[in-house]
This record gives sequence, structure tokens and C-alpha cells, in this order.
Amino acid sequence: MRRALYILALLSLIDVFGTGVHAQISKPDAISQFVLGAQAYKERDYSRAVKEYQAILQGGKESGPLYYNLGNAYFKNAQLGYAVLSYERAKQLIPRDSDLKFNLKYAESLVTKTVSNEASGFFQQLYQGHLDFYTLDEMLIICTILAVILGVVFLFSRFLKWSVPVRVLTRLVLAVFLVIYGAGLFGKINANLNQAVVVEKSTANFEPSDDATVRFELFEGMKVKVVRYKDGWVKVRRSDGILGWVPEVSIEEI
Amino acid sequence: MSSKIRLCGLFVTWLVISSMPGVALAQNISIESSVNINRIPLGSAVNLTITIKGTQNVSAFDLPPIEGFDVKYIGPSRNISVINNQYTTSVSFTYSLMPLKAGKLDIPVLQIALDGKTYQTKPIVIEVYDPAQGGSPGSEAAQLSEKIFVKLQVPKEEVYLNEPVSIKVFLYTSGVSIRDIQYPKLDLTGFSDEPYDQPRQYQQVIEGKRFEIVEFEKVIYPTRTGALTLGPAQVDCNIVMKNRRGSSGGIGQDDFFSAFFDRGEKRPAQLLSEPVTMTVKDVPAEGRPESFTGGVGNLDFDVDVSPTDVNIGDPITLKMKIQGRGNLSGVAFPKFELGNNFKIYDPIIKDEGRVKLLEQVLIPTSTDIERVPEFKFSYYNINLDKYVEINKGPFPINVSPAAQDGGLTVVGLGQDSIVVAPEQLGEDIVYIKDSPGKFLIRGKRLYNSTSYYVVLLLLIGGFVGGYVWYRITHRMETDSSFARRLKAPKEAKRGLVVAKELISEEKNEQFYDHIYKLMQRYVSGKLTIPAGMVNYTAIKDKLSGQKIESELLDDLKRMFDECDSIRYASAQVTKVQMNQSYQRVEKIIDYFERRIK
Repeated sequence: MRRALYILALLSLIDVFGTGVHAQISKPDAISQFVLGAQAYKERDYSRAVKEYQAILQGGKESGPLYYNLGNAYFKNAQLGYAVLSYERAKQLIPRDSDLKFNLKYAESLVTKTVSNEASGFFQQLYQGHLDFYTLDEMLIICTILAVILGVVFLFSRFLKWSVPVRVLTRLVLAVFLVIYGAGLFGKINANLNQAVVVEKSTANFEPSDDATVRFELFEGMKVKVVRYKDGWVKVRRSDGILGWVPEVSIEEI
Repeated sequence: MSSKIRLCGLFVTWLVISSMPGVALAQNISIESSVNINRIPLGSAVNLTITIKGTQNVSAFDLPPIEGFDVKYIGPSRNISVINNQYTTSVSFTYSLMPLKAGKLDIPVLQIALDGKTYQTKPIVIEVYDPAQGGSPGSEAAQLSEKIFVKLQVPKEEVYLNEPVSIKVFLYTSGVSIRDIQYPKLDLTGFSDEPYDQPRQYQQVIEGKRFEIVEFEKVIYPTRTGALTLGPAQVDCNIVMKNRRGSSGGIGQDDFFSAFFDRGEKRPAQLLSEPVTMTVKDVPAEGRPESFTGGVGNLDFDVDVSPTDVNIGDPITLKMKIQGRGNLSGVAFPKFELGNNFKIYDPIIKDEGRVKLLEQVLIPTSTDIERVPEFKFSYYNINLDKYVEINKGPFPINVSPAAQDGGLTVVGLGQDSIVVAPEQLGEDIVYIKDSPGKFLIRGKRLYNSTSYYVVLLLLIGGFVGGYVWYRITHRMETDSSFARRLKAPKEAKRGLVVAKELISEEKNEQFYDHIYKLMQRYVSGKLTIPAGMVNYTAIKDKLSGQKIESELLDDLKRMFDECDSIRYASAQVTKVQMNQSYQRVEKIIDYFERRIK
């Protein structure tokens, strides 16, 4: 038992400190780089702004405002696909930011759409709003806390000998919340998994070959789901379920 | 017939042997050089053929530079001959030599190394004459560079910044045929330029010689001050060599074929002019008006404002045009100030060759506006050598109040009441953030961190442990036999400690009494037998369904007998005996803990 705990503690330490072994940009340098990017943006040198912001990412650090600014720089640089991609990445970190919501919505409004992605129906929109409100980590923490509370209540109710109605009601309320957030967690994982944005206009073919018949077109900024990779090609699924093969360079996973 | 068969056999033998790499036929190697013609006009070329006899195992080689000639490799040819049953092999390499001047030019002795030996050719003299002098040698040897050359001409060497300068590149040819002439290439560092005009072709006699001239002209603008070097100008073309058939004419050199396919061999040529240095100075500071925005040349400026009768909020389009001869990319439109009564949008500027246009939308926001003010533009006129100012405007406009039928009206408030005017909101993204927020390690999230799962495992472990603890305590409360069974080993352990103390105090009666009760309670808890009914027989019956070692049963019986005899008979026992009894009890308890469930 002691040995198992020792190994677990060691793993945690490796997890916490292990990333320090790789070369990373320091926080002061990242902040300086951020300021340089903002300066370039103000001077309307958007290509340089993109480079400055990318340097922070290449240095191993990220933040919601960084992806937001990068999205703005790409947008101003007429790279709509990369702008949507950056905004989506920002959304994973700062989903409740109103500026981000506005910019992402505006950028998406400029994307040529062939299929509607919008959630229709009241409950679908409610569920989507629930997913969009939290980050994945927040969902996970909430679910964990709810599970812990449920477990503690379960034990305490027995030890303290609560009456059956009180016990049932408490557990029911907690279970409902756990189900809601558990479903949100599952939905969020499912939504984030293998999600990609089209960064270069392309066509999706029936086969992973330039000579194959074109099935549908993909425009910059569209969102697709990655199914699998093969020899420089990617099989993607559109929001309406239609599958096709596109060159790997034309999409990037969120 | 037999000779034919022999010939074929030799041929086949040669084929077999010569196809084997590295196999050299044992023949004497010799080298010869020859030309197809010894006397040619300037502008033609002579073919030099170097033949190596006795082997074919030779690769092509470059000739060393030959003074007075431009050398170009044409290709190899291989030959086998069979004469009187003797076959000889040879390989020939042909080079085209173009003389660069008239006169008697030497092809010197050439040394060629083969298989560790050096072979030499014989020298050859080629007579080159200038056809312009009638085929006979002139008093001076003519140079090819005097028959085909390029000149770069500028109108003046001192110019102003951004002044349009018309430069010309001339390609001169005399007695030389050229094809595929490319536009001149020019190093224009420090200049901007316009495309070439359509080239002109004409003839001219210069110092008694007739030249064909191709003239290229373009306009350039110096974009920085100081001494700038223009050129050299490079013109690429192909010189057409007139094929001269000599004694060694073969297929391909026959007039029939050359006339049918090509008039002569094309030889690429790169002709360079001399560079030209120009001094660029800034336009005079004296007399420079405030409205000067960099224009130099001969320019015109015009402004249009329309419509001039508008309502508040209606757009007015301001158009400015600069045109003429000058570096329009270096000229800026005049700046202007319209005050707060106009809302101004970003202008659209177009550069279309010799016309530069600006279009800007102005939205009047007040009825007080009466005019769009005057615009002043000035440039430096090279021809007049002074600054020229062009003023346009002011442009009177009439701004009326906003139209009333565009807004929402609330019924009952009257026809003239407008509650809300329609507003066209601009569309763009929100500005960037000033703060980067909290930086995270890229890609690292809670769901992929080991520490989260460690904590989760600990929590699950804690829950499971808590639940198990609850189950045990609950059962202990509700199941007395379980509780006793659980408590029995601890109590027995405590009892053994006391027994040890009694041994050391040599209290034998108390000792045996204590261990008897200890065993009673222990077995009662362990086997769920009432304490008062615990004896050897009861234990044996209880354990009858289990496989018990006989030694244990013996120990049990002995222990009970000992206890009874000492408790009731007060027998004397030694410390050794007490220790033995102690160990017996310990052994029984240990056995029960390990084997009895």
C-alpha cells in the first residue's frame, strides 16, 4: 500500500515538474512577446503580429487572450480559416468572453456555408449553451466536486443516520446535477475530439487521391470532424454526416 | 560466302567484347585534329574535330581556352571500319570555334592524356577575314565586338529626385545575323521604372560602316539622392553562324539539309554595355510651396465633388486625380482638413500607369456646411525649372436636414415626430486585448494531467475505505457474533501481554486462571460458543466440520487439562512450564487466526 502511494506521488511530481525539463519561453518573455504583437497590430503590420504571437505558442505557452489576439491578427490579414481556428482555441480557454463570442460569430458569418451547423430546437440550444459556457477543465472539476459531495453525503447520511426522505432527496438533487454536468462533460469531450477547421479552401474527394471525383467543397473557416489520416490525406465528416477525403494541409485540428 | 560469314563473326565478336566494360581492344592509339574549313569570314564558325583512333573508351573532354576563339562543344561520333579483315575503331569529338577577330588565328597544339600516356595534335591556322572589306584582309584586324555591341544612353547625368528620365539601349550589329533578341536587363537599384516602349529598328551609317540598330526606350525615376550607377544594360540574343562546308562535310552539314531545317547554327550571346553614373539631387528647397508632395515632371491635378445637393447623412464622393509624366507612385495627394462637420471614411487610392486616383466618401453631419474647401497641389516642373501650383475649389454644397420618411414614427405623436432613425452599423471585429491573461503550458489540461488522476484515485480510495469502514461498524453494531469475532484477536493479544507479566511475577495460579479465561473468551468469540460452555469437547465438536491438525487438538486438550489441574489442584509449576503453556496458547491462537474462519 505504501509503495503504491509512493509511486503515485512520484508520478504526480513528474507530471508537475516534468514539463520543466523541456525548453519553454519564460513568463516575462511571453509577456514581452505579447506586447510586441500588440504593437505590430496597432501599426497594422498584421503578418508581423501573427509571427510575434506564434512565437509565444512555439515557446510552449498559451492563453485565451493570446489566441483571441492571434485570431484578430489572422482576420485582419485576410486569413479567415486561421482566424476561426484561433478563436475556437481561445473559446476552449475563455468561453464566456463577450469580445471573443462577438468576433467568432462575426468571423463565422463570413464563412461560406453549404450546411447549417446551428443547433435548432430549444433543448438543443440550451444544451449547446451549457456546453459553450464552461471550459473542459471546469466541467471536469465540477463533475469531480459533485461526485465527491455525493460520496460524502452518501457516507455521512449513513453514519449520521439521516431519515430516508432526507437521504433520498439529497442524493437525488446531487445526482441530477451530476448527470447534467456529466452529460456536459461527455458532450464537451465529444465536441472537442477530432474537431478541425478548414484553413485552406479545398475539395473533399471520394478517395484519397487528386484524381478522385470531388464530393463536396470546403471553404475557409468551415468546421469538420476528423475521422482518420492516411498518406497525407484526411477523411473528414461534415456536420451533416457526409464524408470525404481532403489533403492534410488544408485542415488543422482545434 | 565464307568471307561474309567471317565478317559477321568478327562483327559479333567485336560487339561481345566491346560491350564488356573495361575491355580495351589491343590497338595502337593515335590522335588527329582537323577543321572543316581553313578560311572563314568574321561572324562564322569553324568545326574542329579531334579523332582518337584505336579505342572508343574515351569520354568527352573540355578544350582549354583558345585565344581569339569562343569554343563550344557540339558532340561525339563513333566509328568502326573493317578493311581487309582488319577492323579499327575510333571516336571523334567536334567543337565549334567562333573567331572573335579577323586575321590569322592559331589553334595550338592540344595535349590529351589517355591511359597514362599524353598525345598531341598538330597546330592548325585559320584565316579569318572581314567580309565588309571585300574578303581580303584589311589594314587592321577587325574585332567581333566592333560588329555587334550594346550602348546605354541617358539624356543627362544630373537629375532631380523622382524626375522622369528617358533612357535608351541601342543594339548595334554589322555583318552579323542575330535572332531571338530579348528586352534589355538593367540593374535599376535606386530607381523605379516603367515598361519598355515598343522597340524601333532602323539602319545607320557610322564611320563608313552600315549598322542595323534596335532601339529600346523606357522611363525611369531616381528614388534616392546621391550618385547612382545605372546598368550595365544586358541584351541576350542568338548569333546565327553561317555554316561553311569544307572538305569534311557530312550528313547534316549538307546544304540541302541546312537549307531545309536551319539556315545556320545559333550561338547564344550576352552583350553588355558600359554602366552610366548619374547624380541625383533633391528638388530646390528655395521657393518650395507647402502643398508640394513630391511630384516632379509635368503633372496635372483635378478634383471632383458630387453630388453637391444632399441631406444630412447622405454621402458625397470626393475624387482627386493626378496625371501626367512623373513618378506618380512617389507623389502623395494633398492633405486636407474638413473639420468636425464631416464624417470621413478611409480613401481608396488607385494607381493606373500615368493616372493616380483617389476616391473618398464624406458624410455631412450638419446643415451649417456650405462648401468643401479648396485643395492645393504643387509639383516641380522640370521643363520650366520651377514649382507649379494648381488649386481646385472651393466646392459649394447645400446640406439639407435629414429625410423624414426613413425613421420609425409613433402613431399619435404627429407626422413630424421621428422616434428612431435607421442606423447602419459598421461591421468589424472587436479590438485586441491588452493583457495576455494567465499563461498555461501549451496543451496541458487537467484531463491530461497525472496529478488529477492521482487525486481522483485517492478520493475513490477514500470513498471505498469510508464505505468499508461504515459496513464494518454497522455490522458490528447489528451483528454481535461478528463484533465478538472481530474483537477476539485483539483481546487475546492484550491477554497474552498480561500473561507474560504474570509469568515474570511467577504468579502461577493467577497465570493459569488468566490464560484459561483468555482462551474461553477467545474461542467463544471466534467460534460463537457461549463462554461458559467452552471446553475441549465443545471446541472439538465445533471444529468437526473443518480439517484440523491433530497436534492442535492435542495442544488444546493439554492446555485445558493443565489449567484445570493447576487451578483446582494448586500444583506447583516452574517458570519453564508456565512459558511452555504460554507458548502453547500463543500457538493455538495463531493457528486459529490463520486457519479457522
